[in-house]
Amino acid sequence: MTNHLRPDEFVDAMDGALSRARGAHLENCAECRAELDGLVSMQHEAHADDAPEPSPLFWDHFSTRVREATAREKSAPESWWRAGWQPIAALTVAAAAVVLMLQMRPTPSVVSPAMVPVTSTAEAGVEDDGSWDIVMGLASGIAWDDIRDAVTPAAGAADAAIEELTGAQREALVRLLKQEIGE
Amino acid sequence: MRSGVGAAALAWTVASGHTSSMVKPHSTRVTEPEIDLSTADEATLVAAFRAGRAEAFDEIVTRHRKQIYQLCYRFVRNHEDASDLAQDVFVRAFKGLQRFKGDSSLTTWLYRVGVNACLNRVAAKKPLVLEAPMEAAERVDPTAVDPLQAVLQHERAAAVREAIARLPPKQRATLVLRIYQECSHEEIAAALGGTVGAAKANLFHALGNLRRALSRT
Repeated sequence: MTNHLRPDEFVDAMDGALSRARGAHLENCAECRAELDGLVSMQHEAHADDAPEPSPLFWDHFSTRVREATAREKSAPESWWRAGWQPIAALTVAAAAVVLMLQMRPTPSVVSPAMVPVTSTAEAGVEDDGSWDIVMGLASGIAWDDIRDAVTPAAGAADAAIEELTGAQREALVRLLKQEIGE
Repeated sequence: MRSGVGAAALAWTVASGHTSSMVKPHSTRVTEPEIDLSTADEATLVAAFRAGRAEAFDEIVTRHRKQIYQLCYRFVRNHEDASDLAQDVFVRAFKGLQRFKGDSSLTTWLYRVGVNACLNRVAAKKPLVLEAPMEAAERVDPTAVDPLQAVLQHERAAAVREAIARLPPKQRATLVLRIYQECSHEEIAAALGGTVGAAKANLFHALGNLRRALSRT
């Protein structure tokens, strides 16, 4: 097994910080010495490449530019995700509430329309429904203005939804509506 | 290493009789500062900035603008881009200083912001536009003692710069921070994220890759 210097030990050697034991290896290992010489030479060569120094006048000009840029940052409107996090959070909560309501109510498509007890939905008091408490809890801190856009159906949305119903579902819907309006 | 930003904030607050500004930075202006920012230490400057003293950031810029400009220059190799990039680094720092926890020195933190900005910039600007050897040769002083030797040196320097530009990003950043910015290995590790051993290994591989690249030219 070879006992050559590790990469970090080569760097320690370049810095003059190699341990005595590893230094002894370096003294006796031509391969490690050659590697170290190459690294030191490369470091010196890279170090010799100076960057040009800007004019002394540049620095004050630069500070002024930074001051103006940071002033613009302070006066600029907040980024959309910072400024809009409250409405977005409100919309998210509202959407979650709607999804929760949809998931917790009975699924009408599983039951034959003829078997649907038309009075079940109307007669069930919302206060007795556990899901209502959850929805109230989620939505209690939300301003109506924030959620209005999220929950208000778009124009034509009801027509589109009816278009997608099957014949049996439409019949059940008609029956429910008639029940509601007392026919 | 903690730079004591929290303690400095408390000291500054007590000295200036200012308490509410610590709760909501930038919310108030200090009308009668008690501390001379030009002689304040880093932690005090950060605390003053958080308390709403805009001139504290001016002082931070004044102290670090040269280092940050030089760092940027090493990545973009021309004055215009370097000054734009350095300005961008300070704007990022301005926006991020509220989140600076003082886990490292302010200089190291600024280097971290700077290296990220530089690597993003060079990654977005591929292919790199590097100074060609002939352009370097055109700048050589024809009245030099040995113009031919000067041309060869310039060509070699351009080749070194090109080889550095082609290093993997972390190796390049390590090399720039160590050789040109003279950062300690600990500072490099803090600026780039990682251990001191990894920073040393990156430097070793960067120099080794440079040697191999230049041996082919």
